[in-house]
Amino acid sequence: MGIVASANWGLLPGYTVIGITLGGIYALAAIGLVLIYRVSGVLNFAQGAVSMFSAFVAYQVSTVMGYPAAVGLLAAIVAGGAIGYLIERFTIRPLAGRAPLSKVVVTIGWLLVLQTAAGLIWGQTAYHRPVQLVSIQGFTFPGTSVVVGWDEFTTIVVALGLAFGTAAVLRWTTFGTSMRAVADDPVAARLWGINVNRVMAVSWVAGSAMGAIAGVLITPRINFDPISLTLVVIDAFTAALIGRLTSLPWTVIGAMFLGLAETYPRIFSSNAGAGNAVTFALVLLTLAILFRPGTRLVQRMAAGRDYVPVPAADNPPVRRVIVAAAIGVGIVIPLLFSGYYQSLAAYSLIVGLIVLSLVVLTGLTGQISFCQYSFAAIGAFTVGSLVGGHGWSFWPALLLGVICSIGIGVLVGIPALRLSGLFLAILTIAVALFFDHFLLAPGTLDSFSGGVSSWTVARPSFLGISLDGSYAFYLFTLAVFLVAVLAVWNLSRSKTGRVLRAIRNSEIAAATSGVNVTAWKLTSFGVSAGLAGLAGGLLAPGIGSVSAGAFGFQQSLAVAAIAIVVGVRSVGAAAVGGIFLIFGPELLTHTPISTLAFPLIVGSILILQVILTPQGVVPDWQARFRKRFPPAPRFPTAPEPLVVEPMPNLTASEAPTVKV
Amino acid sequence: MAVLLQADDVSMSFGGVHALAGVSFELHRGETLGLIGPNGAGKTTMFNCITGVLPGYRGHIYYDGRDLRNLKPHQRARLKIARTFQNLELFDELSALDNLLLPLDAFSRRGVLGDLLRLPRTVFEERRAQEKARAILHFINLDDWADTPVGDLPVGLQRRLEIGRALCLEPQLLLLDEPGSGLDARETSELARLLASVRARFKITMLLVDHDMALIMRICNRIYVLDYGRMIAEGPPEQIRDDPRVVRAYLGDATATGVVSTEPATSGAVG
Repeated sequence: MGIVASANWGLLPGYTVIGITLGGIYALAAIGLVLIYRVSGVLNFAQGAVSMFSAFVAYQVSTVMGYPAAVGLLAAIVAGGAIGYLIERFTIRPLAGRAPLSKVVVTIGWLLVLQTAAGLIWGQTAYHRPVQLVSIQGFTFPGTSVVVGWDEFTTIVVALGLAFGTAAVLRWTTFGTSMRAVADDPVAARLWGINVNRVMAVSWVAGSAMGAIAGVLITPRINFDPISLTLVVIDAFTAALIGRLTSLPWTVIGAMFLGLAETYPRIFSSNAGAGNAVTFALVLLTLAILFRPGTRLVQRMAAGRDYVPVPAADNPPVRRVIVAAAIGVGIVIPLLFSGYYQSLAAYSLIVGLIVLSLVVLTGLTGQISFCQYSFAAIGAFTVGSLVGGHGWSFWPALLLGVICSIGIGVLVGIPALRLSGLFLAILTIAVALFFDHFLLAPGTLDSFSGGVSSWTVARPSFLGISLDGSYAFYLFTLAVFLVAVLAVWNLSRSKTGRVLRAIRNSEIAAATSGVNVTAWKLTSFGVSAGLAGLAGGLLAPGIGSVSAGAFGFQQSLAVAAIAIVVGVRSVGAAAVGGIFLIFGPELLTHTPISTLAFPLIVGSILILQVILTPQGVVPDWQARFRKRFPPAPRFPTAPEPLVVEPMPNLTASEAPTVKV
Repeated sequence: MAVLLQADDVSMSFGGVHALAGVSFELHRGETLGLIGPNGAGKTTMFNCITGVLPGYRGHIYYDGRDLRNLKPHQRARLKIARTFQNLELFDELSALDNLLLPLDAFSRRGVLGDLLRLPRTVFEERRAQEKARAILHFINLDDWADTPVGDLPVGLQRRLEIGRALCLEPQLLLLDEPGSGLDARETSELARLLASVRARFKITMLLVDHDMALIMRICNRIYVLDYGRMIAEGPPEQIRDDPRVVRAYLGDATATGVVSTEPATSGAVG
């Protein structure tokens, strides 16, 4: 009641205009997304990044170089179309026939590349004066006292015009028909003489150009910086989901609804993150309502699949030698370096734990997640608030943190039961943003997040041994990491691993073989979140303090990218991933390249890797290695053969020879 | 003979299409029942209703005297109902042996913690399960492919492996959905032999859907014929072969005789 009472209803008409305008911009971004998805079947996670980069081109042309705003817009449209063409021609087309998720991963690589490049060129956080296309002077809406800016009016008209124009082209023109044919079945379309490549390229160019328009229009309305603009893609996704990723009119309606739903909470609450909470709730609701199993869309998602066989049995003696050598190196080498590097090494092993959590979830069960740092945040902030705020001792706090992470992981897993692939990716991004911009933001839950200050966590002692020194703490994290790796390896080679892989391959066959698919999927989410939570809990004393900035969506994205690059199906990859993610930027400080460029490098490697070695780098090495050291046969002595009884109804001429 | 499976007035529709319209039949313990009918007659839908893949049918399906209605697919599997799929649903990335291990895994009661820590019980059960799976692998004569990812195997071997996986469930009831589709004449003949030895060795009750009349005639004790979601005929193979309603269902009214093969050795795929 207090909230409603404190609301200023006089703001309602003004906020309605703002909300509808925001909706118009979301619609513009979403139309491009839907066009690309409908024709090429790729959900373009880089759509926001393309909008962002194009908007910065307009900024460069108009604000910096002083040309008229219209020239800036034109430059942005050209830039957007060109980027769209580059993405399609050189990174999506080579993946024809591969699983939709591979293509999504490539677009995530582009997201990282474009975002980082824009940050390097135009500055990550600096103030950028937006390109004002149309005057903000307005007119009074007939019959009311509401003032509508000409810029707002233009935005809404352009959005509606492009939406219905695109719908009309798809519906009534020959080229639109061939676009729909390509969307339905590219192979058949090719057989009927449609130039599939051209149609796809056109859809990417047109969709990206629309994204560019959206980018230029939105810059006066949100923080004009690379990250905020890139994340507009989430709102575009939400709008597109309301239109089932196919219907353009419904996408526009969804976008308007979303714009209003994000704006109205400001009447009640000063918490800037409230809009994000609304987006999250809408994503969840839309996914739950629209995407029931068995709808055509979901089936289409399941159609393509990357076929990656499980590595053959390895050679145990050789493996043991290598593992022992790696552990030995891991113990000795840090002794040669300073405390700073020892701390970095400990940090990299903790990040390795987060990569390991993806090995369970993505590698075994095949469920993608872009919110692993949110699970880690649960562990870290539980430890932080209990140790820093309530004077708990570290170990019980860590235990509780891991348990809470498992709980949250299972909760996230429940909507994920119905989703897979792309939709799960969207869901987990929504979860990450919900944590990032709402739950951990100052003012929402300060007793947990610490508000604007951060929690201080001292390093504990273990069995009477103080872990305060860098090397002692490093050894401790090494031990934890090795135990976790061993546990996950045990998991992957026994019943649990087989069951999870079986679920990834065929849920229906797993269920009819007696596997409780629901329970196992939730289990894998729980185990994965528990591992991430453990990492978060260790990160608290590792860094010494816990603050929200360290557990953002960007980190989740980077760790997922790294996990895919190093090979998410291999337990051994976890260590490599952690080391790469932490020591990579460190290495860059010794080169002329800025450490800020690191995500660009990660993104580029990600794109190349998906195209060149789909299994990931580490499994690729392992496969080569196994060729050198072939495995021993799994069963040295075959068990007694069964006696097959003579078969009825058979004549002598058909004697049983079931040899192949 | 005791009734193992009884369908009582089962109906299922998708939108306006009545895939099953009041189908009733009985399957006795130990018999091999054939279910035939033209494409789209509702055979696979019937399988999906029995195994719980399609919830929401009308009517009742009793298994061993128990109504299956509220049971999930995995719970029905635990009642020892196994099936194969028309469009092969193997775990493509898993090796042949691991595919066979899966039903055994599903039935084992140990949890994640035991696997994480690799407790002695895990090691012991793994060994036991591997021996069992190995025996089935030998039975279906796929020993040489134990470690091959099954996505790499030819269709004939995949079909056999799917039967093997179903056998690992130690089923009382085995539902075979067109095990002969995509097989050549020699492979079909091997399949017939395999099915006969499955029946002889494991004493399993089988429900078999296929278009291959020769296969059906050779293996089944009794045949039901479905057409447009209705049971149109029932009886022993010889009787079904000559039943005018069946011939009409398959061939329409105009042509009448001689196309449904009477020679068991030729594998004429009808429909």
